[in-house]
Amino acid sequence: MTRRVVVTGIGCVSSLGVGTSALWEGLVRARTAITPTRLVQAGLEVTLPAAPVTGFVPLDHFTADELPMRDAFAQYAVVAAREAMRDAGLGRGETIPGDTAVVLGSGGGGEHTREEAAVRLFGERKLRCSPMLVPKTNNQAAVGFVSMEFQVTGPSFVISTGCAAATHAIAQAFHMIRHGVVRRAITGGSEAPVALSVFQAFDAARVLSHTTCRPFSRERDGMVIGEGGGILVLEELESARKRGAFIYAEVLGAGMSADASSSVYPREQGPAQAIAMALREARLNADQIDYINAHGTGTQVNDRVETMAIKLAFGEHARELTVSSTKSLHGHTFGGAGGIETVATLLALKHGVAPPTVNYLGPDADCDLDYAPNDPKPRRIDVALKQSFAFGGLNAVLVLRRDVVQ
Amino acid sequence: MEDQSNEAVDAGIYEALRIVKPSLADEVLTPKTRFNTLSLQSIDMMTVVFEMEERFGVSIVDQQLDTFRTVEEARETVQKLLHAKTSQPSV
Repeated sequence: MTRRVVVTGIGCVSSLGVGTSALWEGLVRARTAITPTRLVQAGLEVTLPAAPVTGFVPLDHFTADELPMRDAFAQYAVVAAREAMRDAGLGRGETIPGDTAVVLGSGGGGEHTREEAAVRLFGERKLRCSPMLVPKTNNQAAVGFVSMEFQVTGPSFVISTGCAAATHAIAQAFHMIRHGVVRRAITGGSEAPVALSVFQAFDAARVLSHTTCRPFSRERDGMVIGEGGGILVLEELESARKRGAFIYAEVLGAGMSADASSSVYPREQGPAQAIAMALREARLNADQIDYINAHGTGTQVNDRVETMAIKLAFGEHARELTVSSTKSLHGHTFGGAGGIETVATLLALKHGVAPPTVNYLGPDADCDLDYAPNDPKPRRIDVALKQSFAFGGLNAVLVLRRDVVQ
Repeated sequence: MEDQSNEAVDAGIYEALRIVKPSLADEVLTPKTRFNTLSLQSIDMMTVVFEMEERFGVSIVDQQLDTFRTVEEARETVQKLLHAKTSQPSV
């Protein structure tokens, strides 16, 4: 017997601001957070477009004693989790400790702290590292802090599939509740990759834009790195109903797949297979989907292949869909992306508005769907998909339906 | 760096403590202060020793000398190591 799983709380820290209201306002006002960003480290300097989290004051959220051990990516996760738990009407001590999971995505862990340690070690040639370096930078640090924050003692771990990590994490948490492993989960992901070494690494792979992020548009020239975190509280339907919780949506299915083809060059069959798997689990037909929150990085290849995958999975219905990439507004937050973008998708379901794909200059021959260019698109959205793809050819797709249908 | 006054070494130890635990800025620290009264976790204490090594340019952990219980004892360890440095002939 499987259980039904619903979303009862959402939380977010993004370059559009702290909180889900700031995220939604930025999205529907089509106000991109992407800005020329100067990064300096060890006497080196680079300026590239990025979407850093500004206006986040760590001391507003943590005591001074808590900060030395917490890299920004862990701070974002905890602050987003607090909002999500508050939103769900659950406080500290109300989590059914052993029956709640924490499953978070992070691609790179404490990138800032690791970069500073590398400067010290190799640049300044100081052999001894801070004893806090490992517990502060490892990818599971955020999971540990979230479990401590809410005294959760159930299954807790990190999923580290780069740009798909948070979507994989939500998929895993969903399946754990669906199959009776736990009753609730705090899930999503976070990342703080606005660091010079990360920029240079991605720039070397020629995937970074030097202008801005314009997904699915002509003249698109790459992605823009952002930071932040997005967290959901997932809960078994019956438990949510019993306590009268507000339900954002039911998670109906999750699909996952590997392209098994190339580390960096995606194939449309992989994502299409994940979409089909998600729809199968959701017991929905392709023509029941209204909106897709796309991976939409803004690279030439991703957006072309993602469009092909949507056509492959949806056939004629692809023309009826609205597909948008909110990365054009808050940047690509890697392991946090699936968290922030699933929050955006849930708000799209709630408000009946597809957030726009901004910086759009006009159609590209390879990208010919409805991308909600530049302006939010009010439309009926009953069922939405969130999809994320990662280097390695790893794909994850979620199906979310606004109404809990009997 | 070498031949520092006891007061200067104490001040360096207080500084190391306050980097790891900023709220100690509000507490009176003295040479008699015992580290185990400061609510430091083991990783915090390791980091205090790391910060002391940074400040004084000495190696405490490698010589297994991180056994002090009070600021005063820590100062004695640091002073011994600083003195050993000054008495070594420079090559």
